[in-house]
Amino acid sequence: MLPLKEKDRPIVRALLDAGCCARCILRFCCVSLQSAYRQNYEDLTCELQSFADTRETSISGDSAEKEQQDVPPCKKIRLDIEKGGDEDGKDVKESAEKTESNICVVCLGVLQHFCDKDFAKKIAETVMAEKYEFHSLVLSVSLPAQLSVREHSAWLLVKKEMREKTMCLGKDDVIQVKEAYKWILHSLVSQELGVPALAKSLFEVSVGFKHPETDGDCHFLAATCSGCFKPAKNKQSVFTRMAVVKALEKITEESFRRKFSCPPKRPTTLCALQEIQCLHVPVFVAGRYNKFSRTLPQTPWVIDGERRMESSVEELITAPLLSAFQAEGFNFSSSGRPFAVELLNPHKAQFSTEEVHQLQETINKSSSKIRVRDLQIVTREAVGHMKEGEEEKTKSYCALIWTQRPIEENDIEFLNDIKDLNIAQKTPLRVLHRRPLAVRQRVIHTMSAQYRDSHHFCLQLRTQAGTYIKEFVHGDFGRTRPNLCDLMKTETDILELDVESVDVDWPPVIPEPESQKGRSSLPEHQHKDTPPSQEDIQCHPLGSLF
Amino acid sequence: MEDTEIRGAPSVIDRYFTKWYKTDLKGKPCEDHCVLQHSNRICVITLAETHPLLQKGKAIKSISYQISSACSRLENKVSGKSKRGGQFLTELAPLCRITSTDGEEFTIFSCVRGRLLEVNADILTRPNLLLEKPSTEGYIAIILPKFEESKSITEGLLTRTEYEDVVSKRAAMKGLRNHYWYITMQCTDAWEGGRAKWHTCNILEPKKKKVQKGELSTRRQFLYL
Repeated sequence: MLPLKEKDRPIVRALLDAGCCARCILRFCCVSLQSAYRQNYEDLTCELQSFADTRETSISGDSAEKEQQDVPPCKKIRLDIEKGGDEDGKDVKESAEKTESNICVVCLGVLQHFCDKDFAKKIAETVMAEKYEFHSLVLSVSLPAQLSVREHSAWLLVKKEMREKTMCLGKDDVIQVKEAYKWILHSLVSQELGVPALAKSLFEVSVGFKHPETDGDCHFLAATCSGCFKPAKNKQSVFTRMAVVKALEKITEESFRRKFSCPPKRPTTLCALQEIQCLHVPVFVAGRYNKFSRTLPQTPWVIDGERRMESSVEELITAPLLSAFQAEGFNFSSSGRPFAVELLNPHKAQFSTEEVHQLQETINKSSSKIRVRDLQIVTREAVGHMKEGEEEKTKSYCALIWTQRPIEENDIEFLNDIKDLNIAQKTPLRVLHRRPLAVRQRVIHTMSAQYRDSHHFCLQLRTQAGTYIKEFVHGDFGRTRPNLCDLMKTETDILELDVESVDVDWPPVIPEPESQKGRSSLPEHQHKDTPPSQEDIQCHPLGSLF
Repeated sequence: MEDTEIRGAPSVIDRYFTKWYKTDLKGKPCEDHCVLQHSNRICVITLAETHPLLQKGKAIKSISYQISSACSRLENKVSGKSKRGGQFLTELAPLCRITSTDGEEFTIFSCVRGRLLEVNADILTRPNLLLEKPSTEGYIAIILPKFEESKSITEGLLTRTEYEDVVSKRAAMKGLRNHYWYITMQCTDAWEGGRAKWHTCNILEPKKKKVQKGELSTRRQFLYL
């Protein structure tokens, strides 16, 4: 039994006459019982038909009775199965009707033919073919914009019908096509794929429909509500769903009825499936890396299509990740040594801690130039924190300084006493071609100087992250002030620079299993105050760190 | 390179920059500029060591970036990575005017085509920077040539070797100049008055000087011009 009431009967009749399908009729009657929609389409249609034909039994007033007797029997909804024999007895009209299509004028067939088990099977097959790993899914549907126009037209029809019966029904009470569609399809797709269909999930299956025959239905709106339709650069059609809905809110009933038939014209073709797309939310993988080659760039170095340097940190880390996660792309970001990779549309997203550790080993084995540690899957928010923390964290360096004038040991002692020196750095010339011109305020927290000879000393610095150390030392044409030349009152230059440590707690440290200990990570270590040994400095020759 | 000899290692300029030169800008003798071209194609405009301003005894009276009533290089503002808004300069666009205490006026020119990124405001408050450290803190301007033109901008400029060539020729010509003038004098009627011509060592715009009858008491007088 359908949960329809007496008051619904005139609506049902009017919509049947207009050419609406059974499920759309239920929607306009505000039936929110999901199981009603899931019923077999033919059965549903029959039930509805009989409901419409039933005469009122209750005596609700003379006018009602009288009206009822005058109402001619409704047009039958044509079913696929040819029915023999005519109950109306109107042969001529019937034969004319036979040539009319039975495609719903409102949903264009979406709620008629695209929500059965066969279609669910088709979706399932497409999804399986793409070989994703998932434990649930969210189904999203995109319908052509003209469905809103037709819906509006049918709604006006219903409203008119109700006005005559002095009833009221809000447009918001009407069940949306998408909602009804999902009520039916969710359980079917769930069954086929064996996973629940939820409102939110990491894996999305989107089903798109198109109906080129009626694309022109929206066009009249452009004339009446031109303000809603602004040509967007990247969209093919101006008639987006949002714009059409907005215009329909604005247009008056009269203007609408003038331009668009009410009820809508019957379509001759069925809605067609445009595409079934699968998308998995990106997975974020973070870690720390150490670089052991001074010639390895962070990102691929390509000039004019020609590769300048073999490989890069980015490629060495992301290549194994891309293949393990079967992702289609990535975004690599790092603030110094901690890094994060966003893997786009991964086909495989679930990894255990051991598996991630294996992945880390694969990366480390692939090249001796870098070493990754603390590799782990993280959330998008955590990556946000990494970027935020950039301003707060500090970095420690050790630099070999050359001075033009001869110096003695006590000439550099004053540097040890300088605390929290504020410096202003204009964008250094060596990066000015790719960074905006700006002045950056930075802080040199502490310094410690070790005398070497009359023209050299070693300077350790702990600075705010983002400080250009080389420019602080040689002054960058006086564009960093104050600089070491100003402090030392002589020209100074930097001969070697080593990163000592990056003082930040993210990503969380993952203790290495026993087998990995033994291979030390030099020159970077967590103890900030230990000066690097002589060997550390000497084994890094002058090179491309400059 | 002198720098390397002193310090035993290449200086910042040696490491990153290539030196290019433009001599006798607008025909003015020895008004030489040095363009420091960074490996990332950014150019720093500086005075070459042979520029008159950098010679002994010169002091700066004033520096102005107001090159016309409508245009001040100080007001140049760029924004964003692509440095939009920067004044676009051609090779002979003036950057600033410098007046020395002995009344001479010099114009510094761009020498390269490109977008002006910044001019050195420090030399306005500390003009000595320009005299003491013309190649570093006393730079004049920073220009970003167009990516497509980064190689062609140096076509009109001299390499360090070519520049040194020009400089040594000048020194040689100096000796010749007096002699040249002498010869010219003999060919003209300058002794009687009229116009006398003398040529600069680079044979560019001939300088003309009006001579009064009887002004020349001896030929030697002109030799010291």
